Amino acid sequence: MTEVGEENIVLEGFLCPICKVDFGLDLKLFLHFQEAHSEDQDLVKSFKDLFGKAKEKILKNDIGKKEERYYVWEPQEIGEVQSHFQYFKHCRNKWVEHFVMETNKTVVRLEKLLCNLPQDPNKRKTHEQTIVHWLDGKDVTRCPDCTKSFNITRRQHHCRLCGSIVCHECSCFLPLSKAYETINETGKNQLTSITQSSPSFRLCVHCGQVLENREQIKYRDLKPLVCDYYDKIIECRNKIENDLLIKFNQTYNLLKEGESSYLTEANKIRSDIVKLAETIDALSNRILKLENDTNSSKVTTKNIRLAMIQCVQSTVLAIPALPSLKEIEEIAQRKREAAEARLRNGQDLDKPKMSPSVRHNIQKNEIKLRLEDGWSPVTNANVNSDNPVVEQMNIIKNYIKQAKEAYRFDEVASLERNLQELNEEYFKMQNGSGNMPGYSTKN
Amino acid sequence: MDLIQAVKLYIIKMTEDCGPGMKVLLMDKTTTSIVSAVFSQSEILQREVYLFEQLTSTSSSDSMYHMKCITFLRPTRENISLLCKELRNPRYGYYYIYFSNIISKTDIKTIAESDIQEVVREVQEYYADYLAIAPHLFSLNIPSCGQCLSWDPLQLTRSTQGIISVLLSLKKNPLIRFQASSKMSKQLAEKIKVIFSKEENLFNLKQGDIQPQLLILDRREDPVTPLLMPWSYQAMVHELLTINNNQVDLSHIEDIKPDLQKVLLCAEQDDLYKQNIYKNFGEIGEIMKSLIDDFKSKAKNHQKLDTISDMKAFVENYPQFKKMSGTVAKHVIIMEQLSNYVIKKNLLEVSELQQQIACDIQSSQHTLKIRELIEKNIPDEEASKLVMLYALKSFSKDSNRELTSLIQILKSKKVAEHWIELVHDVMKFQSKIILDNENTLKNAKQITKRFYKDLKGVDNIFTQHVPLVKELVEDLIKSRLKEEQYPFLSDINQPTKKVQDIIVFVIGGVTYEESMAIYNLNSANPQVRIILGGSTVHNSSSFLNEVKLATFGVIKSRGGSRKL
Repeated sequence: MTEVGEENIVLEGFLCPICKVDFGLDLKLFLHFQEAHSEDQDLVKSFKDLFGKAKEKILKNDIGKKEERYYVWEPQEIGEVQSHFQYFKHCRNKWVEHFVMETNKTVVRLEKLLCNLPQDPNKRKTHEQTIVHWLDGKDVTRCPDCTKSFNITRRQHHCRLCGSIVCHECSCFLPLSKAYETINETGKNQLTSITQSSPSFRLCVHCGQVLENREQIKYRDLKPLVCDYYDKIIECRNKIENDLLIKFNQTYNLLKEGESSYLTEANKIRSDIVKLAETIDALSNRILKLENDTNSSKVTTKNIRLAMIQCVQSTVLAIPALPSLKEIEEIAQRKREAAEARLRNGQDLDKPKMSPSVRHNIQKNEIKLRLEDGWSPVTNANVNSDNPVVEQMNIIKNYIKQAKEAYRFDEVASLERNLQELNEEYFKMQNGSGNMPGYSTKN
Repeated sequence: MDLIQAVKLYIIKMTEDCGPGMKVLLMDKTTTSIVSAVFSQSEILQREVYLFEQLTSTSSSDSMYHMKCITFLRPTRENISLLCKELRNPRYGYYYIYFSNIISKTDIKTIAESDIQEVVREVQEYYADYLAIAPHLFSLNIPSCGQCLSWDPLQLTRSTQGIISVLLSLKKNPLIRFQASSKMSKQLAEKIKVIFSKEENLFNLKQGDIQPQLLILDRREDPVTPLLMPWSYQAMVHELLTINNNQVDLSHIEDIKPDLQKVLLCAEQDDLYKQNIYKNFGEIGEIMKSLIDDFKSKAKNHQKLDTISDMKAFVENYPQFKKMSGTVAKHVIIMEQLSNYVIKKNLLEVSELQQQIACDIQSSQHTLKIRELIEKNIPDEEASKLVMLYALKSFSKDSNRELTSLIQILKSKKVAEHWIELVHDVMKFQSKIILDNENTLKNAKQITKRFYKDLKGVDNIFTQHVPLVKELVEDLIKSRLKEEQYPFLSDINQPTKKVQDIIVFVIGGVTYEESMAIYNLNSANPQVRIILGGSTVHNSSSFLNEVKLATFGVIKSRGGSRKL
């Protein structure tokens, strides 16, 4: 678009590129150029080239940088940690010894007080005074705990266990029944607060605390019902994760390879997993419905329920539906055809090489069976499979069945061991060829 | 050198070391945010931690002796006394105590003497004392570092502890470099050095051939970056809606659904967010649109439930579908809010002018354009920010006069008094040394930079400004960071020129734009690893708050700033 005022001249003819003058004739142009621009020419050209190259280089670098957007750093291990537990224990032990001694002294005094306790209140006071020396309150003007002064309304009292002076507000009372409990070490479940009820001992807060701490320790090992349910849930969950899921994945792989004989086993494992998941669900529901008096336990049980719902969901997602018998046989058929086609092409069958241990196992099997006298299993020709390792496993399974029928239980044990080893070998091979589907590994 | 991974590993170890059983996690306010930044609720529930308590003076007294208590606290005096109180009357069966930083022996003795019932089974230091926002970004949540342009001693201690814990969690024993022009950075560097020598056995770490470098910078060198309007997703959300501990508060929107009142924006748990975190506003709009179309088609497919296989597919995909729909809804609402703000505050025009001022483009036009925009009735905040940027970037004698006239215009537009004060405060905040340097602009480096920029052309006018941090780190990577300006704090002469691991800490806060710049540097230079941290992550309003507090008590003078 031309704007007003701008000259749009189109030059034609024999023009010098640098000074843009028309020279009319080519020869003239040539002469002019040689004279006027000979040195410039090279310089200009080389400068332009350089500039262009530089620009390209710089910009190319930049463009290269723009394409990389993500980076991955190598995985890292945990950072520094420092443990202070040894020093902690050292400090604690010294202190705890001192504290335990104090507690024991108090308990011993309580025992002494309780034995031969007279019923008559007057006689009780004298009895108490003989066991524990009561401090002389003449010079004590203020209560040691609350520092309020003693007067007519606030009178001095004595703690029965340590003999120190307390005012009425700073004393607590230990009912006789509880006192006997403490001595006899019959830890009842209820941690009732120390209330005033006759007959009872007057104690200073300090001694009361000591006795209460001692009581508390007894209740620590009590496990509420939640714990039982919870332990069961965790047991189920561990069983699923560590045992059944792995087995399921193994058999699922086998089915994907076309081994139809594993279908029943796969189904059984699947139903086991589902049953365990249902148990988890039911138990966590029951935990949720348990009577919860405190706020924290409500939150805890709700969270347990949430966590278990998640667990069950992920479990269910991890066990996909099993393929039907027909599909498996189709896969097997396809594999056989592929193998035959390869054979026909003259290439070697890429048989998975049997590891020497597997071969050794098979040999061991055969030798073992021959050495037994009396009974030996019969090889069933029907357990065909495309994979020789799997074929061996099938054969051994058959032997196990026969041995069980013939009540040869020691044979059964050794055969099962062999089967286990074969299993491991096979799945190690499978892992080597990268065939494991994802299952949630234990965190 | 992944910060999130470092914190996660510590916490995973905490939950595993105490064995099986129901666990309670007892934390203080800071450590709660540290843990929730790296773990979602569901992940932690899977580790058998079913209750989360805070250690306060008014804790509930429900005792649950069948639970194991994992205590994760900062080693402050208050925490220790509360912990002692808890141990004298323990609520839980067993206690496994972990401190997030170095604790003194006397404090351990105090705790040991309160553990009369012998419930403590473990006392360890696990150095997770910082908020890990991204694998390369950490923050210490310090809203303001100090007053009168110097440190508040509490915050100085907190910053030292934070940096020490970053280094220990990544197992690095670096060379310290600080900014020579900044007294605060020198103080921090010296304090860190003291701790290195005090805790020799801790820092006796196995290093590779090339020692990592810790670079301590001061926000005062670059007050321009936090004032600019950013256009990448994370930065924009923080600027307009404020991200606090990875959470965005959307309760001020009318008709918002209750479960969307406080949304979590965490890259670890939200794939959609993770992919788009550094994309700019325009790109995200397009991505959202394509996602919604995708979504609509999926939803339509789900409607036909004719055959059993359809139903089965539906049931299997439904949880994922629901999860996706939740995520998409969240981002759509956020995008809506962002575009509302952009229109309301006229941010496109404002941002264009901001970038021009910040990059010294067409400087003669600046005052004129600012005047124009102010006439257009942009909000007070944006107007004063423009004036601030002008004040920060202009150094000639004329600019003084222009500045006063601009301030007059602001006053005439009835802009609140505290904005105008902030303009003066920001000028005080700016480091004097930079003023000297800017005047000697005609050195080779600046010229080449200009040349390069002109050569490249501009791909996005809204993102022209390059934060100072990016330039400094680039220099450091090429081993060209001047030692006079950024000296080493050590006795030995440093002959090493190569650089592999860099940890940058900015006193006074970083921004998400700078975090994105560091992320890009990491991708572009695979042979180095760079981590950025700050006392906090700023948006323009929090930055202006800090400026206000930091310049409290400083007398203004145009040639520099003198302390009161």
